[in-house]
Amino acid sequence: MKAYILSDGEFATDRLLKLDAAVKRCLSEEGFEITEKRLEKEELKYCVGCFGCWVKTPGRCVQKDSMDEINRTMMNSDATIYLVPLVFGQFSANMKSALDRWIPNILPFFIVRKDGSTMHPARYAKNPRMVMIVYGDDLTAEDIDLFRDMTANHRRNGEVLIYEGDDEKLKKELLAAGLTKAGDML
Amino acid sequence: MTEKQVVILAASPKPPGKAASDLLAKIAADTLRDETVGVRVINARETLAKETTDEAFAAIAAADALIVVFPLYVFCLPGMTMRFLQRYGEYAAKLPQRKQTAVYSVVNCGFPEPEINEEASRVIGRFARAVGARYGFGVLIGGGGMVTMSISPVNKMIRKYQETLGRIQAEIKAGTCTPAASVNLRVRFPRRLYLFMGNISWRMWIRNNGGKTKDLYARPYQPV
Repeated sequence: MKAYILSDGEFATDRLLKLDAAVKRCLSEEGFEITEKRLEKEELKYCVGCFGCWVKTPGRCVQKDSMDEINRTMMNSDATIYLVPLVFGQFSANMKSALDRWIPNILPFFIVRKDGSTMHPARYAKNPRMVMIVYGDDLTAEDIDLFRDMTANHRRNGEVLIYEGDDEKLKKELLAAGLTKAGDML
Repeated sequence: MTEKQVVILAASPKPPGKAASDLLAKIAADTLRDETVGVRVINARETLAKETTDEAFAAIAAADALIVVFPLYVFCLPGMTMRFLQRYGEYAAKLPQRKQTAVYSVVNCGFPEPEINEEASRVIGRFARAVGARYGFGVLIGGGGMVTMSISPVNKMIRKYQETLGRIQAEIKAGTCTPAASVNLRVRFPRRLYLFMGNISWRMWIRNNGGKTKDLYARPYQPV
């Protein structure tokens, strides 16, 4: 079993270091092979909405930086764990750039899901389970609700956990998230 | 005499001239500007690229109103838009005094349903509060893939957009900023036809690039 941890070096606070250590300890105890990537500030180029990853080099971003390796490692993992610093109730700029440039892993077409919402289908039959662990020094209920809504209202493969310093609680929730390959429901 | 100053932040990461958000920002500028309202459009992408953020941030901090216009990327703000706002947040935190700027958002997405943009509007609301500003409401636009087309259903939607901008202009002139529910604007076009046209366009696009339809389904990271 492989797990990939993605974090934001711009928000490498004590809280992140504690969270990172707790996640790695939990995964190691469960026998996961762990790969970790900590993004440096503005390391990734911004997604510019060119759709080159769909119509020029399908499945790969046309911009050359570390994102190609991030996507490759991610798609070959059973679970991807995002350690997310909340800014204005959403992903920080670094983490959001990584998420924007995840779209090579979906197809351009529109599908209508059973609940009537529109989505793009998965490129791969199996996808890593996506777990987003939110942290911050002064998380507010409003920010947490907003982030949960942003994820739960639109994603079918995206578990949100909130880390406020309790490692045991985190471990239980992380294992309950089911860190195995998900299907093609995104 | 100009009495109110508005900054429109065109915050699409796309190159100039290619983005629906740029067109929506231009319409906003043209609609809001009159003898008492001065409007300045700031392009976030260019500002970040040219490192002229301090000058742009000063203009935003001094404005009576800020309208943030951007596309939805993976159900929230694009990374580039977040970078701009994050940096503005750092700038605003150092200001000795902060004007209670009225903030509004205009969000467009490629999916037909404007409601998908709701959480992105809420993020702008959180941003506004974090920088000591006030938040009015979001204008949420679905069917963004059609916004640059001059066809009747789009033109009707644009007229409603202009009406909503008129409401924003009235608030700016009155010096108010009333928190309100989002305004959802959809292009009245058959949804199934919109999705069908979208799906056809990808096939045409890759063929124009010298590829084949089956190439669209490539799996370069497929485990071996």
